[in-house]
Amino acid sequence: MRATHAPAVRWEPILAMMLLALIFTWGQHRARAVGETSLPERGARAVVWPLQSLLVRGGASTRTVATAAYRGRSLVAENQELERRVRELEADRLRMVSYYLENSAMRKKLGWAPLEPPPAVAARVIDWSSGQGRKRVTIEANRELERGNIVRTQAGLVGRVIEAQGTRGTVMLLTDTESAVAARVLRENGDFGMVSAAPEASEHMTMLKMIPHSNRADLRMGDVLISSGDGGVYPQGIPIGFIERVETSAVNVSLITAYVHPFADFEHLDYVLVERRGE
Amino acid sequence: MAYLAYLVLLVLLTAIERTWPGWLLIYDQGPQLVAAAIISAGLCAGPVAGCFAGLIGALLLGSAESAWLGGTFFAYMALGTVVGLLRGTLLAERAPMAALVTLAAVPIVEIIRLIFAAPPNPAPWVLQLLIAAPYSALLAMPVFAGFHWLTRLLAPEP
Repeated sequence: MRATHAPAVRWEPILAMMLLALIFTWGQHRARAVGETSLPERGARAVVWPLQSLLVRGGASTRTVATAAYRGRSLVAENQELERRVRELEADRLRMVSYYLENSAMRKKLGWAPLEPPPAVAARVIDWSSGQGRKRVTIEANRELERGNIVRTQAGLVGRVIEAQGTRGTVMLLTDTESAVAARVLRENGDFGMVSAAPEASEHMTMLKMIPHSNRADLRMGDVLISSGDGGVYPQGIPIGFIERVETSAVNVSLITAYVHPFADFEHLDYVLVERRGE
Repeated sequence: MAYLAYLVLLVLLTAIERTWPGWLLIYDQGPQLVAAAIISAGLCAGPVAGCFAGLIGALLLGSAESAWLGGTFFAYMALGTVVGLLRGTLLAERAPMAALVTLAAVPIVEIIRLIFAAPPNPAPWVLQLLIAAPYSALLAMPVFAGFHWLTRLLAPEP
């Protein structure tokens, strides 16, 4: 049932484009095999990512204006509450500074090297990519990013940069099924293990799981996990989360899995901190 | 000239799709604007333009989300070419037709992409698909209007 006579299809340009797609795909596989990003992908990102950054900024400004217009009166109360919170945080900060100075003085007396705070930079999340086990975000910082940069929030570890292009990069989150981090329990003689995503337990909230190296591991509810530094991917000492429950396999009692509630809020990642590996 | 305009629209729609505001997401799912754009290009300008839109859309979307390009290229280019063959048929130049084709095409495209990268858990994938198809179909109408206007203005194919 045709309204007009359709012109004959020209298949040559279609076949040429399919050939081009094959070349792009081959190029991507070759580049990824050596841990690089292919030229067409870099070109596409160079066009799309700045526009995404602009849209995220524009969206945030619009939301702020809309919120101010809609809830003008309640914003005054919220502002007062925030001012109270700032005063509390300022008091906390002063307490931390005194602890830091005390720590520095003790390190000096013990002859240890002075403790330098890691020079982390803030980055804005401009893209969220999820589905089929993938949990990745694209970030934009005000300095050049490098592959392997560690990404965290003030609360805990978030993931690492797996692809970088100038000041923007793709971060593989800890909740990605391909991600894993060597961890240890923050206790004297705390057990070591690997922390990875737990999609089977993440129906209502984001969860991770720890599989201990030892089948006689002593894992307890409430135990805090930090990165152990094993493997060299993540530096040691970054908080990951706390153990919410420990399960033993019904088939094999030596198989222990601890489900971990991450400290970082993976559902609301707007800003993150980026550290160079080893910093 | 029209192809350049399609390219600009595809870049814009890719960026919008990737930064879809959180308060407009339904169960963490936004519309597939790039798929709607490819369908619109195919319906308005034929299979060559549809295939071109599929090539560019797949490259932009796949690169933005660091996905493997093979499955995305195959799904989107096939979609653009097949939908392009509908050009000139009755109602092909009507926005509801674009919505209907999008409603049918989004699940087909996702199933093709599924062959190349299967999800670990099928239940959320099905739910996301049930939301994405009508959501994309709804927004396919304004997307189609934009492509239709551009095509009439610049007319890439006779």
